[in-house]
Amino acid sequence: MAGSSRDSKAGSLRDQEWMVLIAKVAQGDQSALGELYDKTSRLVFGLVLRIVLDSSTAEEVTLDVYNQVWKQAGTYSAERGTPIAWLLTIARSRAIDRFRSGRQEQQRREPLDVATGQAAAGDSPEQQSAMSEQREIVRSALKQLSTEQREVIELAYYQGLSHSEIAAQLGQPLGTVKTRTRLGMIKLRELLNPAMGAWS
Amino acid sequence: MANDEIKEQAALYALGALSQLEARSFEAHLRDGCTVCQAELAAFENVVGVIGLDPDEVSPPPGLRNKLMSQISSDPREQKSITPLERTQPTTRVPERQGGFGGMRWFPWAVAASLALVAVVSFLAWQRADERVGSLTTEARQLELAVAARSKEQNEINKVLLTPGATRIDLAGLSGHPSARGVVYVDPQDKKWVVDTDLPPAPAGKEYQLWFLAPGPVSAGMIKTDASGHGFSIVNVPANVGQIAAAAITLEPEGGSQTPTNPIYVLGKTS
Repeated sequence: MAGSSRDSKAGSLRDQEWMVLIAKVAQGDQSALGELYDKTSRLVFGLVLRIVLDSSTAEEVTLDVYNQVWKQAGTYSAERGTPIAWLLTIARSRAIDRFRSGRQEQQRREPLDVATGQAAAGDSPEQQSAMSEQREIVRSALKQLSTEQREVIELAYYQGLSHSEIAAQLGQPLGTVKTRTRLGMIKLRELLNPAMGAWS
Repeated sequence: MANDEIKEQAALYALGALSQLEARSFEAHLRDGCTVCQAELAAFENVVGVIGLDPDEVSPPPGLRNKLMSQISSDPREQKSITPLERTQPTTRVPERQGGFGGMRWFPWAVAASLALVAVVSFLAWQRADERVGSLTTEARQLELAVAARSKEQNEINKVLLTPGATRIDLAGLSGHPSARGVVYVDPQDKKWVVDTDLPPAPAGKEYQLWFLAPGPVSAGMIKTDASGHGFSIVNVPANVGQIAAAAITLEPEGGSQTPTNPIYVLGKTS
């Protein structure tokens, strides 16, 4: 408990620091946007790359993400979640938009490419700092899902697929896909919600 | 809805994996005030908020930061330019408060945000007008009236903003109502709140009610919303209400309730 309260204090300080930066960005402070970029761009770029699977597209999307932060920082408030959850939501949404529009023109790459490409592109473990403790909690929770549960959640999260699109892609009945999603999400929530309470 | 079905809908909705039709239907169900679904959704949204931490962090190319900085400096935001209020009040200076987000540091932002709200509301009103081709003129006239009303409201907000010691309370929609928001402008001298909200239109037979949380709920009156969900009200803060910790809005039966009968829809803390 002592350890988690220390983590929670650190997490809350970081959240506060990032909230102050977002508030400054909302006031038109360009250097605050630069600072926010310095602190968060590796998280954002990593997620965007995982979704769009292409480095130069990921650069464009990352620019879009921070341009949107620049324009919409005033809409952020703590009730809308932690700063990082807000930022990752924007990043996911922009990246999926790009991924889905690109997908109509070119053949879809298989998820397997993502894992290999990402491992090669990832930075060394020492560089993975900003949210490393939280990342470990999320990863360990994801590992506790069954392969089938994780597959449907990742198709929805990273490719923005609806349940019927997932069912079509996997060749599984719709009901099976929905059940797997529900059970996987319930499991994640049991594993993550107590931990997240301590972060915020 | 059966328990499993609720969890399934909420989980799929949080992931964005429902079809458009199902999503709209689930949103309507949430708007009807189903507390079980709201709580389920909140828990799943927390999960979705952090799944994106799973991928490895990757450094973007070094040149990207410069590209971003030059993009935003060549595209300065409106609030950096002189706002209409500054033009009409050239000599007014209000001391800037130290620290926090109170005081005048957010003042141009507030004006810009209000103008943006007018623009959005006008745009939405215009879109609706466009959909109903036959009644375009009527809609346009209503739009003019709406803009005029908004301008009157802006004057009230500006009056508070020019009061020394004025603060604001940002109201944000709790889970299930992500688009609901509002701002309370607190005038400490006249002891009044100017409340500006943007909520989903209230369902038939229901009205939004504002509460001082001091910390127990004390009614601060009803908030009437127009067709677009915009609400505006000026509330006198009773002297004996005590230390107000937060402002909250709930959806109540028409005419309001003595104490909240539904979960908090929109919440903002005073500090």
